[in-house]
Amino acid sequence: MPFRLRRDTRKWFQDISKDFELDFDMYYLCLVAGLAAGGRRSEVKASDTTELVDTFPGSYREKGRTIIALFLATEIERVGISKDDREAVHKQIRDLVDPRTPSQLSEIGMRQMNQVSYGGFDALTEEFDDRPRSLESFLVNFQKIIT
Amino acid sequence: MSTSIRLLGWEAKGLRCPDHKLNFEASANRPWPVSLIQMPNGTGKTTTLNLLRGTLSGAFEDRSVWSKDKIRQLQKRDFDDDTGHFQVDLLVEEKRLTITVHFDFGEGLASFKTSYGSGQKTGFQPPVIVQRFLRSGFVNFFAFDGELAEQLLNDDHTDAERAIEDLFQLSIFGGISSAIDDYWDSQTLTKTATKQRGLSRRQKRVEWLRNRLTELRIDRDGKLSEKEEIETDLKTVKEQFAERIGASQKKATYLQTKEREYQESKSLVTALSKDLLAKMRLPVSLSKSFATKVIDFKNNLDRVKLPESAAKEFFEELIEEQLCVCGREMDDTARKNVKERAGQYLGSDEVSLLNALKSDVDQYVGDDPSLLHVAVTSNITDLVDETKRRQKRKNALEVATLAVAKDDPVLKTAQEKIQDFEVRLEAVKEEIRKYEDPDDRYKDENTFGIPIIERRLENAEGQLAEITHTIELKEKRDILHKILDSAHETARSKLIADVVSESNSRIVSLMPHNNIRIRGIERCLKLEEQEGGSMGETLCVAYAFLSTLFARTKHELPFVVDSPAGAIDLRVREQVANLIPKLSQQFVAFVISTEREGFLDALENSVDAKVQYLTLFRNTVQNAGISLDGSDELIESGDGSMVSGRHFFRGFHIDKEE
Repeated sequence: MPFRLRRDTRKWFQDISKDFELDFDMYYLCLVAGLAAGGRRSEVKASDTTELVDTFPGSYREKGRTIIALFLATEIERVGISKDDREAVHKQIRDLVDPRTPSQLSEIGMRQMNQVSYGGFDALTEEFDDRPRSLESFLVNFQKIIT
Repeated sequence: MSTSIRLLGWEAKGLRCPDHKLNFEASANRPWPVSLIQMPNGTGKTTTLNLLRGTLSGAFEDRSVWSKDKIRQLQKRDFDDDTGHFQVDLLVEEKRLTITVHFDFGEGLASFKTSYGSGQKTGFQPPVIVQRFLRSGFVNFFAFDGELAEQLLNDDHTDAERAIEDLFQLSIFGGISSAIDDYWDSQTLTKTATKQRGLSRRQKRVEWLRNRLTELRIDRDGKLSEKEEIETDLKTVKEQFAERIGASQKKATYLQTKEREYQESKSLVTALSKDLLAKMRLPVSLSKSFATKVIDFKNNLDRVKLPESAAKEFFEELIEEQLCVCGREMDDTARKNVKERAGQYLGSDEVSLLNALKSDVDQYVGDDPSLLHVAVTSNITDLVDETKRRQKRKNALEVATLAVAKDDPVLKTAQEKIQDFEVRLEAVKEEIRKYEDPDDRYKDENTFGIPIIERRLENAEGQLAEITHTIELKEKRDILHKILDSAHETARSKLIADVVSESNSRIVSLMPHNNIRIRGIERCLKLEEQEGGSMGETLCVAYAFLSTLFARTKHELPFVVDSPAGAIDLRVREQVANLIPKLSQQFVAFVISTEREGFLDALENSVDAKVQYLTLFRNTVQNAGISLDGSDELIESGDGSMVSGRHFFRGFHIDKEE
């Protein structure tokens, strides 16, 4: 199962997308915004999204597991699982990861991560008055939103 | 089928060149192989070439190319009459084609009349067989000047690839594709649908989407041309501005310093932004809370002993044993219990993944959650500072530009034009983005994204095929499209490879001691390991390319050149003169007297002296004393004289009109 990007995300990033090495950059920035918003998620129809890749691409390859760690930590917190409840933590991890897939996320895990990325895009559009016009101003403001 | 076009002559009246009428016929309907028109600089060579191009391509009717102001600039100076005309006579397939443009300078308008054979039509309406040659993009290839030679090497301007497509009729692949589409359309229209309900609606939707797609593509192409036009104008005005500034060393140095400082800052902002983005790709560097969260997560896994030291597989294997690891016998009850509890353990792959995940947290985050975040914060501070500096330097550059332009009306006007073009360029770029809009939420009539409409059309065609039982036919149609696209691409790439190879052979014979070569054709000609050559080299490359093109096709087109040897070294002129007869059956050139040396004798030899000599100059006080010795014929208009004859031509020594 691949990572999927909302179609409206491309439009929103259109002025700075030339500065991105990969389309996955847009996905990632939305994901991070969603994780910063406590794992906020949105349901989006598959036809309103486009398929990206089924693995962490390029320079994300070596950082993929750290992204998954943050995702798992956020999910455990969001669902309200006690950190001491070994069984529940165990089950949550088993449900979301699958070492046999290229992304190391299970189907459920990938679907949920995609939803967090969609939700993160909503968070970004709410925080920014207008779509970003330059990479430098976007990154500076993005970091303010995340922290 | 090959096409033959001959240039029989042209006539100009009321325009910014002397009124004149030229006839290139050696005998009825048979033009000279070579006609040389000697015109001193300032007589209107460029104007005449532009008139010829605008008339042959119909471009004077295109407002985006020929604005009212641009049309008015063609009017003869100090001339009361507000009208003018330019007429070109051609021979197409042994029938006379006359294209006439009437200019109304008061209104800034141009109107065409076209006559072919016995019929006359209003407007620019050449016969179908020559339409693909008589259009803006193509006319420039056979009405040619040094500027266009340079543009052949610049993909902002000339589409050399398109010339190959046209000359070798590669558009036939598109034509076959259209015919296949038409057939499929006719089948879907005539087939009886299982459910009549919805058939008409689906047919209408397919038709509507097709029309919409065509309209959007035309609109987008129009905007792309407009963008190209503005970029060309902007580049020209910027060059004029720089040239004018260059006249004053002090001003030039001052502005160059400001420009350099701004560009340095701009590059630094770009580099810092990319560096920051690279750091941000590790989420824990973005925020201390992220880093804290993953450290806590990892520590908690350690605390609750996840992953376990034993993996699920251990217990699955234990079930098969006779004795448990504790020494007790494994009976059915024990096996059942172990099997059930094994499910609570992670598999060895999961164990490895969790261990790797924890190891990555250690490696990237360590124990201090603020370390990475501090580095990113510092990077952001640098970026903010540099962005402010860039803005200051941009302002300083603008102030400096205004200051140097303040006392110079030419610079001031150029500066205003630059600002105007930049605003227009941004606006047109914004409009172009509309056609790439991936937004799929809106209704068809409110959707401008071409890829979205293409996808909707494909779906609509699929639905229509379904209801009309033409799915198999649609699949066949799609396969044929793929074959045609592939055949088109193969033909195009092989032709390009051949044209490049032959052009390079010609370049070698033209300039044996020069290593300039064409590497390939991607819109324009791409040279090997260099962006461009000298003007002489560029002209030779252009001649080599065009002579290859024209030699490989059966079409016979005239070749009109402004200053064919002007920028070329004396030693290369002879080779160019020998190449010219191979370019075309009819060669017409505008020359000045200094171009004759090294060129004329060789040219005469290469065409067995079948050269028509014409000299056109203004009737000025300075020219009143010109001796007409050696002339064959003199035709005078109100403001110009046209003299024919070889001896007069060779003895004429005015390079520039005062």
